[in-house]
Amino acid sequence: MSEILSVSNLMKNYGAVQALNGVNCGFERGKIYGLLGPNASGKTTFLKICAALIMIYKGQVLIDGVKPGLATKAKVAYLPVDDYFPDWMKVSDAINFFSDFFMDFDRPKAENILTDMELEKSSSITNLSHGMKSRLKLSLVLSRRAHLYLLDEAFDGVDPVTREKIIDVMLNTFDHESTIILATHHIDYVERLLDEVKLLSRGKIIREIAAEEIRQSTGKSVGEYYLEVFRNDKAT
Amino acid sequence: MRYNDYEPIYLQIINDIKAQIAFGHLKPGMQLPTIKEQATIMKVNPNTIARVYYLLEQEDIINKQKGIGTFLSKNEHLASDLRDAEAKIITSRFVSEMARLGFSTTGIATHLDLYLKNESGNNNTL
Amino acid sequence: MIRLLKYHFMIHRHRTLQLSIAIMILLAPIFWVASLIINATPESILNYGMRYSFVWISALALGYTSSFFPINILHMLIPVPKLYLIITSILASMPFLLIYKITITILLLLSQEYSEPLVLSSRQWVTVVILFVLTQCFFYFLLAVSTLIKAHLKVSKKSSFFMLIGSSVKGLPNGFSSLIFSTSIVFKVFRELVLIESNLTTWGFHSFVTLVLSVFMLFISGYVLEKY
Repeated sequence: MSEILSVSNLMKNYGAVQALNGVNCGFERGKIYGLLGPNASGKTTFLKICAALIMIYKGQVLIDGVKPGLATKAKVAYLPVDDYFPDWMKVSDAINFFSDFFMDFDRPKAENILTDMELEKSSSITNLSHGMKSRLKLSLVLSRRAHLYLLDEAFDGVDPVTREKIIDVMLNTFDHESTIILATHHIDYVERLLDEVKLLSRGKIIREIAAEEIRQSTGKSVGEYYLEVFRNDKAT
Repeated sequence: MRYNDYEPIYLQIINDIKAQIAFGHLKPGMQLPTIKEQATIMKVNPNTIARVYYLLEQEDIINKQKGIGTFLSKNEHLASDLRDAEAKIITSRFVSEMARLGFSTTGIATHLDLYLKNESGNNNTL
Repeated sequence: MIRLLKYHFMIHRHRTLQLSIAIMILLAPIFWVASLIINATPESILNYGMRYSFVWISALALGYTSSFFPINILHMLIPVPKLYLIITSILASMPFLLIYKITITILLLLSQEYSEPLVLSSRQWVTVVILFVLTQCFFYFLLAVSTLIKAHLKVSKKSSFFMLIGSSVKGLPNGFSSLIFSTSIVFKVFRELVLIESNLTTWGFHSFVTLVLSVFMLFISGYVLEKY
């Protein structure tokens, strides 16, 4: 099976709010996907389910043929939107944590990336700026040799220099055995990185199309295509 | 490299590489970066670069040597062939834009002639 | 497992040292003033309320410093069973019991509320440890119950039941209330075990039952929290 992640009829509600309303899609190995959609379209919920953070849902999600849970956590690297390091940790503690609990963590690589990102091992994490915290999170997550990377808003609140560094690391990590899913609304930054784009609106996938295909058949960039689709989407 | 918004990126990269060969920036037999390296340099999806290299290989512009790397074709005429091909594209673009303005073939030729005479008179690049 | 233990030890150490001292400094004056008021006023609801609140405040001081909720998003992402996380957290908090004991004793001394002995006998220490384990197991059990309820009933997160029990995985406020809830109940109900020098057999039986209950709750919590 070349699909690393397959989702059928995925539904998730928070009380009366239907966050995911029947998602059907598949993700293949060796590709970079853009999961695009406005805020509250269900992107974060979707990623959290794949990351086994949300265990209560309807429908089927299979990562390498296995339901998200204990076994998949070893294969999936998730980058959350929120800060998730305890306030007592230093950068070196975070490296040790990842090294201790993730078998696929590449420590030398992490240290190289962190040096490149100008992160000092002895810094206390709470004292870092937002941009530096983002760099740290991403550096650690991308230093794992995971099968599936779920990156939720990797570029939010990140300055252009950091953004470029992040893209560099992403491209460096990526290979034909891994899959990256980028959930973002910063489409312009990531357009050139994407193989395929899946547009998520109000809990449903409304378009699945290769990035180059968008340009080829519509003559528009992915960003413009996105605007067009969602402008019409609002009108309906 | 700057990308436009309306053409597929792989196409733009292919054309850019061809232009670079035509202008002599890339010499015959030169080694190209690996797909991954190129992707990182250009900040583009590696699969896109893979496609670019594949298509360039199909056109015999580059060749992959297993275990060693990817190289530009040693064909000495490649640069001039590509220059001619590029020239044809530029010319057709010129002609179609002039045609859009409403000029006939004769009109286009006249304008071109006039311009070239002026330019060589002012001792410009020609 | 050992790495987990080491990691949890660091969490507890961080919290205990900081908060124990901070709480002692903050609460000591309050306790002292409050005890003056209690002793000065006649027996009344106010008086009773204040006495009862000491239990809560003690539980607060104890519980907060012992970091009852080590499960945060980082923990949820590592491929380690939740049961291991909980067990190692409880085990790693044990060494800090001494500091908690000192903290509580000082606070209670100031309140002159309980005649809790300063130095505990070995049997009393064992009881305190069992109580400590029970409280934490009970907390996780509450968490598991609330998780189960949320999974199977369409209950909104904001309902007052959940405000009380809390889904402490994410935020402090919710976990805080369940912390107070669980620790105060346990301490109130079981404090007799510490203070009453009952005979060895009774004590032995109580302790054994408490331990079994704790382990039972522990495994249920581990299972439920893993699945949901």
